[in-house]
Amino acid sequence: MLEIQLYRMMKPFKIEPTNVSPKIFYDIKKHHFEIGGFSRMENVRAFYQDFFDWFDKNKAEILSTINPSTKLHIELHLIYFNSASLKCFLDILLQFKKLYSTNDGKGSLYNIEVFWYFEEGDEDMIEVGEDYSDVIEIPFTFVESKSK
Amino acid sequence: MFGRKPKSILTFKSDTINYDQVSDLLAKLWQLLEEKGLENAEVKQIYSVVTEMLENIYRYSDTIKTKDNDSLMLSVFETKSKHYQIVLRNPAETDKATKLKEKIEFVNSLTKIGLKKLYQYEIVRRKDENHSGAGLGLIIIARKTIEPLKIELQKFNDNITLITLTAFMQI
Repeated sequence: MLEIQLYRMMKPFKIEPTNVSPKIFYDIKKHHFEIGGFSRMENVRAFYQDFFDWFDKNKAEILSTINPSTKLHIELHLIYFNSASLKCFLDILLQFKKLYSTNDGKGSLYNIEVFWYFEEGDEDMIEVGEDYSDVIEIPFTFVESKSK
Repeated sequence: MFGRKPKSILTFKSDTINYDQVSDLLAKLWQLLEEKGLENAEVKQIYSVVTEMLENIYRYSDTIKTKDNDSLMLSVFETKSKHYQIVLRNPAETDKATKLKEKIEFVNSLTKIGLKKLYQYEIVRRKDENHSGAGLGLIIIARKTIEPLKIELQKFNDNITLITLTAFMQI
């Protein structure tokens, strides 16, 4: 029974992409989160709510896998996202920031590395990433990919 | 005003719009811009502005019946190479239209740095905070345009005003 529970807990969260909605992948075991594609759904909040609900439900289990040396690896491979999605991405990043933080007595340390992928020449995408990085106060690594 | 006659590359007119129509228009726009040989990053700049405009009318526009079935209107023009003009018209209650005009005038008054600060403030701001913001979509549009957003209000009846918003882009 315990093994089954552990297996269920370790099973990654996964949503497949469509033409208007992104792929979301979170492997708790590997501490790897990925989101990519388009995010322009009719009801953006309802779409992301599935992830937020799952996250809330499994928060205790996720926390049990985190120790001070655990580092969350986040990859954002976004093509296009609308203004409503911007707030949802921020909420996801803030949830992770809270979860993967430790306090060394002098202040909080955030054990997160964020890789922001952008297509060659896409200055707007870089700017959005820089804005996010400023707002959540975590440095991003910007990775250029070749334009198709 | 233009160096040559502006060429319309996409037009939509109706008194109503549903989300499937929004999606179809956006897919068509992406395809048309790709066919013109624009880079993905360039396509996305225009796509982003048109998305915010269309989603805005889909979510917030009032519905009225007009003789020509054209109270909602979107036109994307290519005014010269890599210069685009996007015109959107929609009906709204007059007080909402007036508030939108004030928001646009405020956004237009900001510098590039001011817009960036407002954008960062808006992505963090929660809906239940005690005042309405400038509108994140509006700020996104303003950050991608080369001239101030142009807004014109035209009285339709005692309660409804037709709003025409024009954005100028250079990619």
